[in-house]
Amino acid sequence: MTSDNGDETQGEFKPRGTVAFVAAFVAVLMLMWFSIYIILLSRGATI
Amino acid sequence: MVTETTRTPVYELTKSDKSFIGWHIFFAVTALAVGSIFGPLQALQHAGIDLYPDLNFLFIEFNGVNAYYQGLTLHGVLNALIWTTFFITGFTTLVVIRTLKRPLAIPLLNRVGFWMMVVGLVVAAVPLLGDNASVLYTFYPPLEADVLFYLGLVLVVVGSWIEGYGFYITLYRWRKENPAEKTPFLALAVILNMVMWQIATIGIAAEILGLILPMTFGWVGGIDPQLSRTFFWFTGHPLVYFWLLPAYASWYGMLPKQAGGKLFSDSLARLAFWLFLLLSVPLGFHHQFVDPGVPAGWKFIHSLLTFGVGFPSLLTLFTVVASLEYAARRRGGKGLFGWIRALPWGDGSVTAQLLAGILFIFGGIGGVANASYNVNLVLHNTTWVPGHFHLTVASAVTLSFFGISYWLVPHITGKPLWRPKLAVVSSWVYFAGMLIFSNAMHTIGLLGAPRRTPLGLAPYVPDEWNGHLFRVAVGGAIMWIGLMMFVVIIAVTAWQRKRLPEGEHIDVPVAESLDDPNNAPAWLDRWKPWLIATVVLIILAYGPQLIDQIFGIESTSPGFSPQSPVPGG
Amino acid sequence: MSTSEHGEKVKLHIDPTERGWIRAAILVLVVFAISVTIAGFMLGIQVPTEEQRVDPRTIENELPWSDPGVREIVAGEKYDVYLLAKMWFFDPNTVPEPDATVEIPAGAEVTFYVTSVDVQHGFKIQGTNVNFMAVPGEVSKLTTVFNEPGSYDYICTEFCGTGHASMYGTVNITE
Repeated sequence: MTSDNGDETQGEFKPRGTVAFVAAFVAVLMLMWFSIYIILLSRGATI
Repeated sequence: MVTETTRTPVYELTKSDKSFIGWHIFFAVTALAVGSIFGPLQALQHAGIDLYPDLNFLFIEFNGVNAYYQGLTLHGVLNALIWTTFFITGFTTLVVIRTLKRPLAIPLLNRVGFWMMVVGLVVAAVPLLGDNASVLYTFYPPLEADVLFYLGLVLVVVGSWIEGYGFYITLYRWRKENPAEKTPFLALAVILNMVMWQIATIGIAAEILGLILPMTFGWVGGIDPQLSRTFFWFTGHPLVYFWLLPAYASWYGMLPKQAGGKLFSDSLARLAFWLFLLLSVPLGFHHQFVDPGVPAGWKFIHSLLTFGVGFPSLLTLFTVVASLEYAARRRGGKGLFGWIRALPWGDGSVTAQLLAGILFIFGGIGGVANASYNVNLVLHNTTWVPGHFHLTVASAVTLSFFGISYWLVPHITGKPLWRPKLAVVSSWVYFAGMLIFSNAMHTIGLLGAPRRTPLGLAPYVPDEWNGHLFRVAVGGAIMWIGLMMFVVIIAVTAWQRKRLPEGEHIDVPVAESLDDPNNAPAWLDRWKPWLIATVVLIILAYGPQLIDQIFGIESTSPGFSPQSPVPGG
Repeated sequence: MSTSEHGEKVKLHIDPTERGWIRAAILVLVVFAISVTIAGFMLGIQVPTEEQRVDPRTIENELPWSDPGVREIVAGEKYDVYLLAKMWFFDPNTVPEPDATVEIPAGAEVTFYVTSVDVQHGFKIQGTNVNFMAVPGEVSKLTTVFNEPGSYDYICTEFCGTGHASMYGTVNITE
C-alpha cells in the first residue's frame, strides 16, 4: 500500500507521461482516420 | 478527509443486499457463458469450419444454415443485452449502497424490477431457443419473431426502469438527508447512467409497443420499417453508452484506487458524465447514414452531434491516463512511457481494466470513423462494424466487467478470488484473441465483407479475404478460451467452501480525488438544468423528423418470418 | 467543511495541462468535421437522402419497378439501374441483364435505385461508395462511376432471412 499523503494536489503533479500518451493517441487517430478518408475519396462521388 | 466528516453512521451492505447483487451477477455471467458459445462457432464458420451440424444438440430445432442466425441472435441478445444489463444493474446497486452509505430506499421496488428482468429473460429464451425469433438482436421489422420474444424484451427493459426508479428514490432520500454534501462521484455516475437509459429506451418502447406488438397481435395490417428503424436507433446508440458508462465509472472512480493513486480531476469526471447525459441520445441518425428515409441534412447534424459526444470520451482518456500516471509515479514509475510498467499488472482486476482501456483506444478511433457522415459509406454493414463493437462492448465494457468481478465477487461472497494469477492470464488471453479478431474483422470490412453473414457459405467471397477470415477464426477461438477462464474463475470463487480469513474482507475500491469534490462548482451537482437541456436537445434533434416520419407514412409492410418470402409464412 | 456553501460561486478548476488537451481534442474533432464537409458538399460524396416513398405491396406492378434493369439515359455517359431486393435475390442479379441490348461502359455515370418488396436488405457495390439499406416503402438512390471495365459484385449486407448469405449480383462494365 502507498502512504496516504493528503496534502498532495494537482499542482504538484505534472502529467508529462499523459501528455506523451495522448499525443501518440492523436497521431494514431489521425493516421487511421485519414487512411479511411482516403479510401472514401478514391471511391469517388455518389451524387 | 472532508467527505467523511458530516456522514451519518456508516452503513454496511447487508447479507440480503449482497445476495441480491449476487443474483444479478449470476444471471449476467450465465448469459455470457451461454451466449459466448456461439462466438467461436461464427468465427470458425467464416474460415469454412462449420461446427453447427456437430453441435445440433444445442438447438431444439436444427435447421441447417438457420442455426447460424439463431446462434447469432442468441449471441447478440445474451451477450450484448442480458450480460450487460444484469451486470450493470447489479453493479449500480452495489455502488449506490456503498457510496451513499445507506440502504436502498425501497428494496422491494428493486427486487420487483430485477425479477421482472429475470422473467423477461426466460420468456424471451423460449422462442430464441426454439428458432422462432432468429431475427438478430436488432429485430428489424418487417422480420417478425414470436410474440414472446418482444414481450420478454419489454419485461427486461421495464424491469431495468423499475430498478432505476429504486435508485432515483434512494438518491433523492440521500440528498434530503445530506443537504450540505455533494453526491459522491460514483453514485452520481451510475445513477446518471440509469437516467440516461430511462430516456433512451423511450425509442425502443415506442417501437415495440407502438409498432411491432400491434402488428404481431394483428391489430393493424403492417408496419413502417423506416419509422421502426428510427425508433430503434433512438435507443440503439445510447445503449452503447449505457454499457460503457459503468466501465468509465470504474476507470474514473475505482481503478485509480486499485492502482495506488487518486482520481486526477473529480470535477472533469462529473462534467464528462453530465455531457454523456446531454449528448448520448440526440444522435441516433448516425446509425442511419445509409437509410433512404432520412434526409441527408439531418444525418449531417447528427454526425456533428456524435463528434460532440466524442468530446467527453476524449476528456475521459486524459483524466483516466493522468490518474494512472499519478498512481504509477507514486509506485516509483519513471520515464515518458516507462511509468506504464509500474502499474500493478499483477492484479487481475487492474490488468483486465487496463487492457480494456487499451483496446478501447482502437474502438474509439473506429467509432469516430463510423460517425463521420460519408466516411461511413466505406464501412457500413461490413465486418468492420462488429470488429468495432467487439472493441467497445466486448472489450472496454466486458473486460472491465471482468476486472470489476474479480473484486466484486469476493466482496459479496466473502470468499477469496480463486487462482488470482489465472485471473491475470484470462485477460491477456482474451486481449490477444481480441487483437487478432478485431484487426481481421476491420480489414476485411474495408475490403467489403458484409457483417451478419456466414461467409463460409457466401458465393462471392474472393480469395484475398481467406487469410483474414482464418485470423477471425483463430482470434475468436482464443477470445473464447480467455472468456471461459473468467467464467470458471468466477464460478469456482462463488461456489468454493473456502472463505476469506477471519477479519479480512475485500472492500469496494473507492478512489479519492486530487481536487476536493466539495470545491467543484454547484452546477456539477444539479439535475434540473441538465435534464431540461437534455430533453430540449432531444426534441430539437429528433422532433421534426419524427413528425415527418410518423405523419408521412403512406403504406405499411406485412410481417415476414426469416424463413419464408411469403408474408406471415 | 466545504470551502463555500454548495460551491455556489466556485468556478470549474481545470488543470492547465488538461486545458491544453481540451483545446487539442476540440481541434481534432473540428478537423474531422471539416474533412467530411468538404467530401460531402464540395466533392459530391454524399449519403443517401429522402428519394421517394413507395408501397412495398404493389411496387412490383408499377413501372419502372415492374421492369427492373438498366435504362440508358445518355449513351456512353449516363445510366439508371432499377433493382428490386427480394428474399433472397436481387432482381435482376446481373446488370445489364444477359439479354439486354445496352452495355455500361467504363467512365459512365450510373445511378442505382433500389427498394425492397419484403424485408430490409442491404446493398453494397464492391469497390465503390454505393452502400445503402434497401427498406420496404422507400427508394434508395446513389450514383457512382466505374472507372475500370470488369465485373463488380453487389451484395446484400443486411440479414434478411435464411438465404441471405447467397444474395448478390454482378454489374458488368465494358471498355
